[in-house]
Amino acid sequence: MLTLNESTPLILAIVPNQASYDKLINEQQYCVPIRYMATVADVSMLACYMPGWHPTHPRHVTHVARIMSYSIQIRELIWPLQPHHPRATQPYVVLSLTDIEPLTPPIPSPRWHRISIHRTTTGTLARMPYLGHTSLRRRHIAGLPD
Amino acid sequence: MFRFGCALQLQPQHSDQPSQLYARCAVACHHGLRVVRIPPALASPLPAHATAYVREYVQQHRLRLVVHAPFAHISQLIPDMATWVSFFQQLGCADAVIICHVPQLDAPTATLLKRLDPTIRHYLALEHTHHAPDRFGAFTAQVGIPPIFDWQHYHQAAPWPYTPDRTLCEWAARWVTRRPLWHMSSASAHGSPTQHGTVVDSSVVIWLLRSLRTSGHVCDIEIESPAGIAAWTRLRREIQHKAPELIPFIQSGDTHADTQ
Repeated sequence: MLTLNESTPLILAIVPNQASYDKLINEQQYCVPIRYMATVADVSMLACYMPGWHPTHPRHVTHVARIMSYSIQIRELIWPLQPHHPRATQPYVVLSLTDIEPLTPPIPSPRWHRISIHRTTTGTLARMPYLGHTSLRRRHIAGLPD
Repeated sequence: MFRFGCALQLQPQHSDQPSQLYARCAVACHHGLRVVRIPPALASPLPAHATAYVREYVQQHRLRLVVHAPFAHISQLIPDMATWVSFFQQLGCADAVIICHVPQLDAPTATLLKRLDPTIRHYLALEHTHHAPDRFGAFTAQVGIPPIFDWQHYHQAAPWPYTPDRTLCEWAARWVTRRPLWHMSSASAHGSPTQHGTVVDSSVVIWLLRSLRTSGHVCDIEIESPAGIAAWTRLRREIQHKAPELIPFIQSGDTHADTQ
């Protein structure tokens, strides 16, 4: 079991659409283009940012998850229903997740609207009242000692 | 041009071999490293579907792969070496290195090294450890395999005359077909003297890099530190501060030419 501390590396990543959200929740997977490999290869946690499409929490970080492993797969194997996607034949990094938990309360992002992948730490995320701001107030993240 | 490398510790560990390999190369490149240390367990031929993108990445960024053989007698390592050679050939890495330690500098070991398969000898290099530097240098010259200068071991052996810069340049000249490689580490302040410290002494690195520049050698440097990338980042910052004239000769990005 991974032990979390304040400096555990974490990526804050966008869930761009409903299909990605379903894959995240149902299959416990998150996919990024392979050019992000250096960013995601040595992190242990993922925080999910929901942009404007999300019906109840648009522009909020709503979930955190532990990254168990990564693998490289061709996009059309990850998304078999999108064979004509312009990047269908390109390799992607598939992050296998576990312990996906909702963040309570979710972290709003009133200023930052163009988040793709941002690297930070669990301690920093836990202290954020909103994205782009840090304070001493902490919220609880499962597994992170208070 | 000088290129650097260091050991990488990546999380999470439960990934397949091609993905871990690609991740190591990508993280090394991201931090400006061009020498990538591959754990022996990962250095086995890749499945066909994964070869293309790993090979393309390694070739595109001109990465140099290095495998450190475990401490064992050379005769016990021959099957593993054959596997590592196949791996290097699959990725088209002609300048890759298999680093071995030689426990004893005796005649049977010399005979064994001379009789190794030429393809293994092409990739092989012998790391200086606990032997007297002069004796080790003579042994590697006898067997025709390039030596790897190791600052910490040389410093601890403390030979007289004490000339690490000259020894480094002499041993670098023995690398005929590949770029020379040397190991840089400083002794741990708290552990045993043979243990690698987390911080690398930048003054020594600057001294040796200036000596290499003066003698016209290009070289690859592998930092041996448990701090890994943090040690490299700190070392690069200190070189930038103390010896900015060396920075143009340190290849840490794709924009630099590799021909200087």
